[in-house]
Amino acid sequence: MSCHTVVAAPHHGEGGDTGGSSGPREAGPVLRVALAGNPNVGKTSLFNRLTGARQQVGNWPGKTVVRVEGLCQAGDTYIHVVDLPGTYSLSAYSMEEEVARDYIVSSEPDVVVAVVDATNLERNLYLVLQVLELTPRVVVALTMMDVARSEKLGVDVDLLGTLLGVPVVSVYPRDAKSLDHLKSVIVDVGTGREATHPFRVQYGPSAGGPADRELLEAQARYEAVATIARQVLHERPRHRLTQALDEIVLHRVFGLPILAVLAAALFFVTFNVSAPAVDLLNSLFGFWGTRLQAGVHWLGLPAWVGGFLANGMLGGVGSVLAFFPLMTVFFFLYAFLQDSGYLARAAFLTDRLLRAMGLGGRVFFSLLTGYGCNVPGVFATRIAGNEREREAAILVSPFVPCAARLGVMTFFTAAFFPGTRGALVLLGLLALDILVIAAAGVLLQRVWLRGEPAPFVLELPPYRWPEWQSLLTATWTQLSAFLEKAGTVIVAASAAVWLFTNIPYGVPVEHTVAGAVGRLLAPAGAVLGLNWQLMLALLVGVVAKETALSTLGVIFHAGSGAPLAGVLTHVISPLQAVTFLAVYMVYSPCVPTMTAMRRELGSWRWVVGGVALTLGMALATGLLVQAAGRLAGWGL
Amino acid sequence: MRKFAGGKRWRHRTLCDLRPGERGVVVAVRGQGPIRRRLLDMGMTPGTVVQVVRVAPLGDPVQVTCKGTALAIRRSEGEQVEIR
Repeated sequence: MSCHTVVAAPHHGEGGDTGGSSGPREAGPVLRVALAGNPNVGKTSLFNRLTGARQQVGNWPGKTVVRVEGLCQAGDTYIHVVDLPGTYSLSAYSMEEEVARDYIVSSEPDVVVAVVDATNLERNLYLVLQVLELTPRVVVALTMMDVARSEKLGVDVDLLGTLLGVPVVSVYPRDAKSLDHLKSVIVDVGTGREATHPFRVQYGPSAGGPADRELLEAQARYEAVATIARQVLHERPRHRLTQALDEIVLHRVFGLPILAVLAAALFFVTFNVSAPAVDLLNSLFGFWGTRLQAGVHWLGLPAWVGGFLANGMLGGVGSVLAFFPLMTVFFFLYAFLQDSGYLARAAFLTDRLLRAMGLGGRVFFSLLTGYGCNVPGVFATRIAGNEREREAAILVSPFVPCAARLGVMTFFTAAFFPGTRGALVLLGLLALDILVIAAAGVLLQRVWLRGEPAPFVLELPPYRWPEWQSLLTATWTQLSAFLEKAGTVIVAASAAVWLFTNIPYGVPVEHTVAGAVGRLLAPAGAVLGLNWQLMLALLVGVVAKETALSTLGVIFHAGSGAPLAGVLTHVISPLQAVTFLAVYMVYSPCVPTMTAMRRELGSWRWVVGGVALTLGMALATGLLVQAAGRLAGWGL
Repeated sequence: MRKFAGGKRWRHRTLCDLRPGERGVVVAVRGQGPIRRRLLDMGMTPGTVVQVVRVAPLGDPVQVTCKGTALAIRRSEGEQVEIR
């Protein structure tokens, strides 16, 4: 059975489903199937297995909820699958619940597959009963059956099917046959070959208003769930391993230190594992750049053409690709922490701290993502509890130093402070950054975004060993967010920066357009004790943060052949370097991040406000660092 | 069970009054809107046994077990759940 992905234009405006129009070219019936289920039940992993690794990712019309769809085939029937957002309920109180409910009610999929974690029946069946109230054409896919078996949980699958009145299929991740079986059952139910007799919850008469109705419904559903669970489950799940691990990981004293160690390990492994690949890419691009210039010379074209192609265009592509290994490793490890269940614990541990910053525990996910790249970091704020929390999370996300900034900061601190002092200065700056995030969060909460705090009821799912395919898919999703937003912008920008620093061609940088602009910025720099070269690097860095370093390279070391680190230490004092890094770490989101913020916040006005906030904070941070340095007796 | 909360007010024991390891039975969920609905949807319905497992290192949120799942709940929300 072959599976592939639908490629269709993103959805704009229309609430319907485009499976039919954008679907397969060959003839054959198309069944529209929606996957519903709680978070953390292996729904996305099942979706990946059904539709293959590649999927079409878009947004639900008018919503900031991700919509993922794909196509697979069962015999000559095509199955168009929509992965509904993971929810615990369909009461339409959160945006995700609204999306899931609306899709089932108004788009009327042929079959709804309710994905159910066999080790967590009592919670999962609540949603299943709600789905059964909306549509009779339901197939229950039981996941985690292997875990259930290893925990010696007997689940009576046949009886569960009889009680629910719809087919129940066990799905094993490494068993293609169970997937084929699921698909054939989907086709049977979708085409009406198999009739269903869905279980309906009997609600008593409601005593009063909507609040009573809510209580009555929830209670009646959970009572029905308990009755079903008692019959099909032979033993209650215990999750012994999870309990034992949580004893350590969520320990009152050791919990936060363990989190700190894991976070440090995440960055250490990211930078060390990716270093050889980054070096290789850099030298490859350097090599081909020289070759390209030689080729251009051989063709008899003017020297500036070679310079533009090699340093402007190829260099730009190179600086995008140089971050690829780094971000791949980072997002892979992030996905591992996420899928294993640890990140929910991290949110539990840090909620209090983040709330003091005017944010909430869920924002931990998006902040951590931002350390890889701010663009997916902005998209990851979708996990926030409500709109207010989300807006705050988006506006603070540029304060998180991304991999590009961390790379430049590592380079600088190593050049100016050899040995362990460099690492200490870097750590100090990162600690300062957390204070900046806190200050910005509190400021936003007090001044800009008042309102109800988001509810925080978060499931701490049982620990699981993540599946490879899910990790790779998640990594790719984040990388493609960077590529789509950043890739073209950075290449175009690095070409523009080359022109900027080379017009007129062949003169020293201070006589070019860039030099003139740099001198315009000099008065602003004087406040912070930064020279015009550093100010120019900051300005160019707005395009893409890593270009700040290559700009300094162009300014200081064009053609000299000496290593940039050595040149910099001669023309910049250590205090200037640290002040520069403090400003660089905090100031302005890069252009790709601005476009991501625009997309998520809905208007440029918000983005302008956000940029102004970062500039103000950067100025304050820079002045603070400068004053502290002077007090400590460092001369400028 | 009710307990004296100072002044002339009596108030019900809530989820937040349970110490780690203690169990209680949900009597009612106060409040309204999204928070109440969410608590109900997560299984905090009257008659349900809940257990406080531990408190986060910084004192908030608390981890509770309800219907076989571990949930992290903030104190402000836990105070909406009356316990007997």
